Amino acid sequence: MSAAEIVDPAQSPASDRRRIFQIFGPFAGVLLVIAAITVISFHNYQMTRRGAISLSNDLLRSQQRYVTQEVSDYLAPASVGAVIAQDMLRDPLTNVTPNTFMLYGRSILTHTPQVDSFYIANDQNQFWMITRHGKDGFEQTHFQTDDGKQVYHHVYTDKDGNITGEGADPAEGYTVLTRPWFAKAVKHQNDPERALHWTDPYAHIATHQFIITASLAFDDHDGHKAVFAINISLNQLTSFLNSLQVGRSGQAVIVDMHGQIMAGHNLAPGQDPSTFDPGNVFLDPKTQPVFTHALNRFRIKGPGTGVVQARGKSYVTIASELPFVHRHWVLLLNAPESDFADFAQTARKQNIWFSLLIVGLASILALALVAQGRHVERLRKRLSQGREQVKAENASLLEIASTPNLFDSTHEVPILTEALTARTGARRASLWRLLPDGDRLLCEDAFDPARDVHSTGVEISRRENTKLFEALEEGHTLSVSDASQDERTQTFQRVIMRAVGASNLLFQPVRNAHRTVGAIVLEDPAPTDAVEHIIAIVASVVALRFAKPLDAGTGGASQGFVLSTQRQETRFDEGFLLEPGVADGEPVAAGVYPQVPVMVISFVDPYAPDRDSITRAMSVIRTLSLEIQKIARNSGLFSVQVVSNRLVLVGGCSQTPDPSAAVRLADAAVSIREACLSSLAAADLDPVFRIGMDVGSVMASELGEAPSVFNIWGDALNGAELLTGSAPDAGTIQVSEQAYVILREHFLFRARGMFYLPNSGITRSFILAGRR
Amino acid sequence: MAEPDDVFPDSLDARLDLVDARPRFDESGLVSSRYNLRLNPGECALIECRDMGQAALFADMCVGLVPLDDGHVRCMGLDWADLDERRANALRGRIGRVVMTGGWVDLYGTHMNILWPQLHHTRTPIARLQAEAVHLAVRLGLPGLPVVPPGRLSTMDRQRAACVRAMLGEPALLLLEHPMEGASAGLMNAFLSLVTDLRDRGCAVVWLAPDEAGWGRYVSNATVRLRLYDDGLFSMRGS
Repeated sequence: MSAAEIVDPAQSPASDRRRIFQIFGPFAGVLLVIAAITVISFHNYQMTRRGAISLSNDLLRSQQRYVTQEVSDYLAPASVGAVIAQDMLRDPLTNVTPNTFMLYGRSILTHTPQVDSFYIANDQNQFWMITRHGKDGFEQTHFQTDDGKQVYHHVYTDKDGNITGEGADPAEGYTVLTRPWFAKAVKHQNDPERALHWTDPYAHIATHQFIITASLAFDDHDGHKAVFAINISLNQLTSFLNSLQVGRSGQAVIVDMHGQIMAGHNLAPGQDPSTFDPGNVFLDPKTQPVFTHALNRFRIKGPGTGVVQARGKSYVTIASELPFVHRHWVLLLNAPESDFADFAQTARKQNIWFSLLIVGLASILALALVAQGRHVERLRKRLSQGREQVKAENASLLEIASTPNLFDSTHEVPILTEALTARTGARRASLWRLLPDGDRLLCEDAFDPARDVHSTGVEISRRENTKLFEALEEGHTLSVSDASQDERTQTFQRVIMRAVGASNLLFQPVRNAHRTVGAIVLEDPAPTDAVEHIIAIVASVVALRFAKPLDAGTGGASQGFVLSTQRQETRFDEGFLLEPGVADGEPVAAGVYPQVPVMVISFVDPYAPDRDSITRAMSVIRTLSLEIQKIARNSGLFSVQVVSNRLVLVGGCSQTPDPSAAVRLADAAVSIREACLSSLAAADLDPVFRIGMDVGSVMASELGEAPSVFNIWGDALNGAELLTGSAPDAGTIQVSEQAYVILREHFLFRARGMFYLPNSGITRSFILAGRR
Repeated sequence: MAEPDDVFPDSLDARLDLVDARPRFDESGLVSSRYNLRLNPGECALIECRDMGQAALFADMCVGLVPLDDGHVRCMGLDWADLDERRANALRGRIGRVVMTGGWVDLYGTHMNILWPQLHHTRTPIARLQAEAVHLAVRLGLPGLPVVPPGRLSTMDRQRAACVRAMLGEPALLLLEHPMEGASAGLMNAFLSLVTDLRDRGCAVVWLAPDEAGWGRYVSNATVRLRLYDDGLFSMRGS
């Protein structure tokens, strides 16, 4: 069927679906594998991550308990010491050194490194302090008035309390009553919850230690208010927190609810101790976003764990309250998630790589499947094509086999070349017989499928095609892709193949009984497989046909034409019922004439069953010719030429357009029609003529010499011929649009319609009905 | 192995094969008899039918437009009942038909009416189609490819154009409903010459006419001569 068909009805949609599935099925499978791997990997990652976070939470919680315990232990001397002290130190404070206090202080300071110093004071402005001095010594300070001056009187002792030195510092204006640790303790003395008062952290003036003071008020035996205070150094706590290992790179910090840092990570690292105020260090949201976030979360949700995103990383945090001080202290711990879930990240990366590997392998598999599917499909198509070809060959074989007189060389067998072109797709197929002299190849049959015509009789000789004849004798098949470039086939291509524009040649010698008898020639065969079969079949048939020599007539031809000796005079100067007009004694000059009215009258050969009818018809034709000659003369036509069963009438032939010539011609047409109709009716014959008329350019020239014959050809004649051939009915005159334009004032017309012709575009044609 | 649902075009398949085809009367108007006809490539069936309306329905059945109660109608080995609309339309693209009612779209020129089927069904270049159409038109006695709307052509010219439309594009099957009604001898000769050419190239022909005059002297060239009655197709004497 036609290859140009858009939809092939013989193509089942199931095969389309199968083809689509073959291509897209494996890809869909790979996509499914990718999706499944992605989902499973994601799920695994989530599960692992959740487990890792839970694990890290547990770890942090235990760390938090540990820290809480450590802090509790760190601050315990303050609370416990204060409680013990209030029972031990109820003796009234005087200017006499309170030995119990000093002993107590030395003991505690010796054994408890985090305790910085002790104070004891009463509402009579008595103030005693004990702190460390030197490596193993102590400093006992008393606020007193010496010679009217308020001073801190320092007594330095060794670890056993033996005085090793004294000193004094001015303390003008000092009153213990206004010190926060004193005033607040006194204020909350009776509040069991807040009896032990904790100050904000501050830097101790003397030691520059970052300390916090816990103070407890009690009544002396003499009824005065006394306050016992313990200063705990927070530096130790900070060192502890800094040394605390939280995960791999986690941190811990203790802050109050306002974000002020009590102890912990990065508190005063590298700060100048003289200017650094540890009482004014707060969490910085810029540098410590994780702690800030964790504290905010604590403020809202209370103690607990959480995950904070900061600096592009996830941090696990835990926040808990430290219950030992009245002010809310919060312990914050954080650690990057990766410290704990690093193995999950690594596993995820590995999973991704493994997944990519699997996806890659699956893709290769899918491509292989697609390729395999396509390969199978191609094979299936080739099988089907092979089957089709076998069927078609069988059909051709059947046709050839059923041809009568197949091997009789006197009968034409066009089916051979037709089968060859049909099966090989060749532009033309021809069978050549090698004539007995061995020097000429005679084309017995050539078939051109495009024009659907057979031709015969062409001859090529050894003289022009020496190499080709040599190949023919050797019996080798020639397959030449460009025959014009091959010296063996060059001449053959120029003479024979150029006519159909072929370049590819397949030349197959035909041999019978070990001698070459002819050749099969295929021009531009389609590049299909398995054409040898049909060529071999045809070759074997042709071999048998060519095995017999040509008949006597043809055989005689091989000996050259014998021209008849009875020569007769060739008649040149005939064919005109009306000789071409001569203007002013000058013959019409050769050239192109732009507007020449031309009319063609075509008679259909009447079918004559017997001799009488033929005689009668010939007499009618004779009469008609006389009539037409007469009409032409009377109308003043330029020429009337008889060509076989047609008459070519020319109204006038001049370089200047002459409308009257067209009118004269049309007038003659009407007269001739009438004459023909009446003559044919009188002879009881059907009107078997048609008339076509056109006005246009023609080429005119005298051809030949002594005598020369006037001839015209060109568009107007072609148009008139076409109009004659396509006149709707017998006896009608069809004229072109150009003729109609000139004639419409003088004649009656009926429009036939508008028609398209590739070379002349859309034109109208008219039926000339009669004179006006 | 080919799948059972894969049908390949087979040059040895009948171009038209009616096997006990029984049309559904209430949906077609064609009498619900059993019709049998097999036409191989190059064969020609001349079918006489007094009622050309019935003949047109029979032609409709041949192109799968009439639902069947029973039996099969196959064209080039393909059963119309097995084809979806798209494939059925494509298969109809291989059939040339001259219909009694004309089947013209008068809003467009006759040339468009002639070229449309091939423009719709094939990718044949329009220049080649035009050349082929002009060639057919001239052979059938038109001065070119008519471009006026079909309604403005004379009856005979319209018949010529209908023949051009049917024969354009190397049809595999020709369904002719009285194409030469009132034709002159010249037109008939040209038409028969074209039909013979097509048959030589493997086209099967179903030529329906109300009487023997409808196909002139082509009777002797037919493969089979039949009569279409209400109760089916019957052979004519001498066929």
